[in-house]
Amino acid sequence: MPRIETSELTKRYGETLAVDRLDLSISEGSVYGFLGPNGAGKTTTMRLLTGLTRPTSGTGSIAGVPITDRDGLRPHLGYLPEEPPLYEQATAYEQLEYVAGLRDLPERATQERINTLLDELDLTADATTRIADYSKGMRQKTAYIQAVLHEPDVVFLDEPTSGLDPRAARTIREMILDLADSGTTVFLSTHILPVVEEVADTVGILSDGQLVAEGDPETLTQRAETGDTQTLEDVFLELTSTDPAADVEATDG
Amino acid sequence: MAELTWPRHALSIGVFEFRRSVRALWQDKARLTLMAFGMVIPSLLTLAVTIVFADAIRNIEEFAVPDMVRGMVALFWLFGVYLIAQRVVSARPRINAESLMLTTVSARTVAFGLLVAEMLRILAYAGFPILVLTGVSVFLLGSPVSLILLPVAAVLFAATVVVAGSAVGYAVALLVATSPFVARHKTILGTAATLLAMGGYFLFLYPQISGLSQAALAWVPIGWLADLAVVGTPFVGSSLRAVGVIAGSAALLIVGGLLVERETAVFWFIEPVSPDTEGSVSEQTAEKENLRPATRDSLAAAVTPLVVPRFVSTPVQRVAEWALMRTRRDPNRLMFLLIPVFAIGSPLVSTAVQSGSIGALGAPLTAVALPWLVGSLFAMNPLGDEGAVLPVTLTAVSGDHYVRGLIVPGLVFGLPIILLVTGLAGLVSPYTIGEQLGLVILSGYLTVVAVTISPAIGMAFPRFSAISVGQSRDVLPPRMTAVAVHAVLVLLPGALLAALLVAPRVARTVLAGVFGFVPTIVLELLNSSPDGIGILSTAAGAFRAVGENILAIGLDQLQIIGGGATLIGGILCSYILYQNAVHRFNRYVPL
Ligand SMILES: Nc1ncnc2c1ncn2[C@@H]1O[C@H](COP(=O)(O)OP(=O)(O)OP(=O)(O)O)[C@@H](O)[C@H]1O
Ligand SMILES: [Mg+2]
Repeated sequence: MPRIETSELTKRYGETLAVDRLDLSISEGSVYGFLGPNGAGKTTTMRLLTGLTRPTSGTGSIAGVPITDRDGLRPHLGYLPEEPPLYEQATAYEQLEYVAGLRDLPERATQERINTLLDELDLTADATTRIADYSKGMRQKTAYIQAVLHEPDVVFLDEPTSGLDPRAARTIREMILDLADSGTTVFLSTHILPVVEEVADTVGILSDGQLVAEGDPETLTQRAETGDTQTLEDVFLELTSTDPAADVEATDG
Repeated sequence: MAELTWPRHALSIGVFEFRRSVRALWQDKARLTLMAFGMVIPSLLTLAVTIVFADAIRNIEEFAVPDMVRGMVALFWLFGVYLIAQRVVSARPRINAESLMLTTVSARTVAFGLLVAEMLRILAYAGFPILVLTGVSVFLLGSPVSLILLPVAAVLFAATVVVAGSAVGYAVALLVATSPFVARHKTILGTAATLLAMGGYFLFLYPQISGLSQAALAWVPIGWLADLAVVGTPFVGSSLRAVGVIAGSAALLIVGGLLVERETAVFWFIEPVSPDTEGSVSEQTAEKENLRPATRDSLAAAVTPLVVPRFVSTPVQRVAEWALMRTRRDPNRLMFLLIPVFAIGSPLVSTAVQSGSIGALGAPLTAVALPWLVGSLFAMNPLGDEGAVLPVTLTAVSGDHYVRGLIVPGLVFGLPIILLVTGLAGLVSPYTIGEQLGLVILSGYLTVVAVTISPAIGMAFPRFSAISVGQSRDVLPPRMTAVAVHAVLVLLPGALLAALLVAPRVARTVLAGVFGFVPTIVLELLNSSPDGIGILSTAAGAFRAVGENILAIGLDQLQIIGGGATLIGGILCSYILYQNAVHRFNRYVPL
């Protein structure tokens, strides 16, 4: 059974159609690269799939649990939103232990996991400093650890590498691959296309709320009729262009 | 599984949130000091009174708890519910780190955690006074059961206030989020609600205004907490009521808790309706088409029908428009100011009505209070209001322009209105034309001062958001300290000037009292022990002399010298604080 599945999933904000009849089917242990221009509806899709907002119509499920069943959903997912959800007055340690406590994780093992993750992300030295004094990247790292701490079945990462230095960004990419190897499904939204090319098994491109292309990176960058290879950036620009001519070209590609 | 653990998690959320607010408070030293005073002084006063009257208290005769006490408890309870509801609606209907909390635990757990946190905050604040009262009950009134029952009554009071207030608050927040009508008119509706609540509160608190007494509220069952609190002491309550209030509170907690759970489960997962989307479609498309910066001044459009005059430079105009727009779009600011207006205004008005001197009091009151109000409208928290934009503002505008921009709205829009209203109030007053004119000039002078000094005060005591979550959030209310400092700087000298103008004799008596006789009386009271302490009586004598000297000053002299000094002081103060604000802005380092 797919870990993430949606059918005709739709979200409307007043006049704005943020997500338009989205059909997804993402299997266990895969990394799904979710691309799209600003305002395409990526964050909205994640909020729908994490139960934070209700769909206008359509259905979806995570690990077999319908996305409208929030209580059932919660143990299966981890979410790193665009804006790291942290408490300024707490230290990284305090925040992570607090969240672990709320999730009822076993204390000893979690402690070790927190330490390992902090180490891997070079955050140990600052883990006892108040988050109010953190840089953007440090916040991002803390929020990332928080999202994967409980080893959920599905992790939603909204721009996980934003604000990270090259070393940290590399670490996160490796961590994502490790997560997938251990069976976690990673739903990844980012504007940094090389990251997607490196880690994603499947790429979906969203434009104006609609899924305009889906496939593994190799297939997407192959031009069927000529056999040339394009970059993912070319594909992205073509598929999401507002110029109708480009649309035509893209659909017959 | 989750069903069994949620109370434990709610408790840990409550404790965590409470610790967070303590830490935040700890960093805000001015507010901390103010709260500490608010907490310690009543307790110390109670303690002092107890010690002084220990014997009298010990020998107190039995008597029945009067209805007035029950009514008073009920009144405070109702007011508490209003305050909590207002906190929920205006400060934080949505939660911090929302996406984290709601994907980690159930909404119910978060809701109950927040209730616990709020109770802890109240109890932390009231803990010391409760301790003192319990001590008095146990040791002086000889009532060992008070050791348990008094704190129980206090906790029940806090818990029911929080639960009922939150249930009301989330219901209102839900209404604002779902009804476009309410969303659009929330400023006016909110102001009306505040006026009603405050008005009701003061009507009962000052029975002389309305003839209503607190006893009229004794039927409200929550007042029976008084019966519970006095069990075992010489004050005799009704034991039926004491038992009843425990059962009643329990029922209220359950029903209120269920309500809060339902409301938050909906509220935290919906998108609030936007107050602006209701406009006609054609209007919206027209707006979109015209949105090119070159063809349309959207900021000026946002503040219409008000127009910032073009004689100021563009940066000043922009800052002024921005300040206007913020004030218009943020209802909290006005509500925040209404509390002191009512606290001070209603007893004054009630006295005036009773003594039939409403006309005589109205004009000077207008001349002093309105300038204060306008002065605190636009710049009580300018830096905090900038939010994430602050670094940009700091690098984009000069301090001179910025501060002038903050001053302009009050002068351009406030001043004419104040002059007009004060003039009208003067016409219906018993004062001579000369005095009326004086009051109008005074109101203008005070407006200039109040408006000019506010940026410096607002910048000295800024309030910043603790954290911004993805959802849009309302502008923060200004810091209490800033409002208080500004009020003291405007209202006290303003009142003195008004009094010197229309009632110099009263002004002289009050001055003599404040600087001479009141300290004298206090010192003499302190010195009432049989073999008085020398220093205290010497000091008392010195103060008495000061008082007598003030009374001996001629009224003309007082008006010219006292008034003149105050007027010049005001101008100096404005100049210095204006410079200070410019300086602060230019050197400000955002956190
Ligand atoms: N709470 C909301 N209320 C109204 N409209 C919204 C809301 N959230 C999102 N939208 C609208 O839905 C559309 C999709 O927004 P979304 O945040 O999902 O885009 P995104 O793909 O994440 O963009 P970005 O790459 O900039 O993060 C946008 O048009 C946005 O204006
Ligand atoms: Mg987004």
